[in-house]
Amino acid sequence: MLDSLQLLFIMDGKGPYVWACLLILIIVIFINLIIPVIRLKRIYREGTLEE
Amino acid sequence: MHPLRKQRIYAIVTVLLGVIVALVLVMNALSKNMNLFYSPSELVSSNIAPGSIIRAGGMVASGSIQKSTDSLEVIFLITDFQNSLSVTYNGILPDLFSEDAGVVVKGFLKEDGTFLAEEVLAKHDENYMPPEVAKMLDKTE
Amino acid sequence: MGSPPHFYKWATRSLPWLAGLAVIVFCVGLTWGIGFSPTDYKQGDVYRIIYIHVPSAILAESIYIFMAISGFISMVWRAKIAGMLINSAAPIGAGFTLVALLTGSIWGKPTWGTWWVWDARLTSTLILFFLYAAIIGLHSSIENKTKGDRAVAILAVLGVVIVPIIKKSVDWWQTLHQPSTFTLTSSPSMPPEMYLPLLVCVLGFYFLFIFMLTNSLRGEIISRERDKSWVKKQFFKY
Repeated sequence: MLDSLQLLFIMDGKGPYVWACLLILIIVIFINLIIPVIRLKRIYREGTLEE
Repeated sequence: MHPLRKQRIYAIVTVLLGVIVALVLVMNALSKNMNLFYSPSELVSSNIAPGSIIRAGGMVASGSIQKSTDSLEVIFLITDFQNSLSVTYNGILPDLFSEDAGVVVKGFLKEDGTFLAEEVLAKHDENYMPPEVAKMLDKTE
Repeated sequence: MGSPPHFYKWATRSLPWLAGLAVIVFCVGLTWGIGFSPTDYKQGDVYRIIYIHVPSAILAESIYIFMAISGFISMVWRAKIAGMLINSAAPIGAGFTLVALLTGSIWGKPTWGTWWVWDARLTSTLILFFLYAAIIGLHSSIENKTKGDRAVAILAVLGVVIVPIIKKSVDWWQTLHQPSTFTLTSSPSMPPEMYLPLLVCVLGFYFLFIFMLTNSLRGEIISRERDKSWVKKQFFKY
């Protein structure tokens, strides 16, 4: 089990290419998801301060 | 539908068509430059000056790869099945470089009509299959 | 129906369901593709980048088409929500275009032997990225939001001509990039155990886009309507 996981990770030396792609994908999705949340929080803070 | 909306739709469609026509004209004019490489036949018919840096592409002809024993030098033919071009290259080939596979080379034509490449890129096709299937296909052929 | 309060309510209610669906399909597709599909006879395991690269590229084009349709609705019917949809979708589209470009580059190095060439497919995709950037920049540079919506709608509609150019670039011109594996006219040039996970990935990416768009639309609506009474009631709760 552990051996096959290691094989999957290394992928005949091509692993770094594949995992780098996955990392880029996850980072870009995360940034796009977090920005609107931060934006809403800021508006909420500003809006409640005004009252 | 409201006449104003209809008018807006007509305006959008007209402008869009205008952009498309303009783009088609521009792309037609630039058509030669938009190709990444010349095929061997195009190289024969056009008179590209020897020495100018260009890209040529095609299939590596089967059985044409000659590797030097004491250096990295390799000579091979690229073909579009009508004409072919002899390419000399001195360097490390990409993993996917093989006979009957697509290749794009960058370099220049020499006076003798052969091509001296300074860069070799492998062009892979759109077919994917597991190794076992590929082996079976090979056997049936 | 097309009013911002209605959309905000709908977006807030559906968000957890959309998130769940997107995460499940997305994870199943990627795990299947990267972990369990067979290796390729020529490229080996590096071909698995296809399960990230192709869905990202499909979304990059689809999201632009979505923005063009929204732009058309925004121009003809002057629906405020259509403008908001473009603004919410643009950063997501730019993100997926960037992923398609970067993963393509990472895939190119071990297979073609280069990170980048200026062939028609790669160059037209880069233009798509700049179009997204132009839309994001244009809207934030125009103070008057109604005028900004109009300018952005025009760019979204006219820019859509890049999509068929990207799609057909590999057929019209000689490129280093290979032609499409999937076409409408013939069967895919890969076996089912390779294209089924890819199909699930594409589906997962689409669900992910709907989730991300809904998430981003909430921020856009509240930001644009923050002075309206319904926002005070529903968002600030007083």
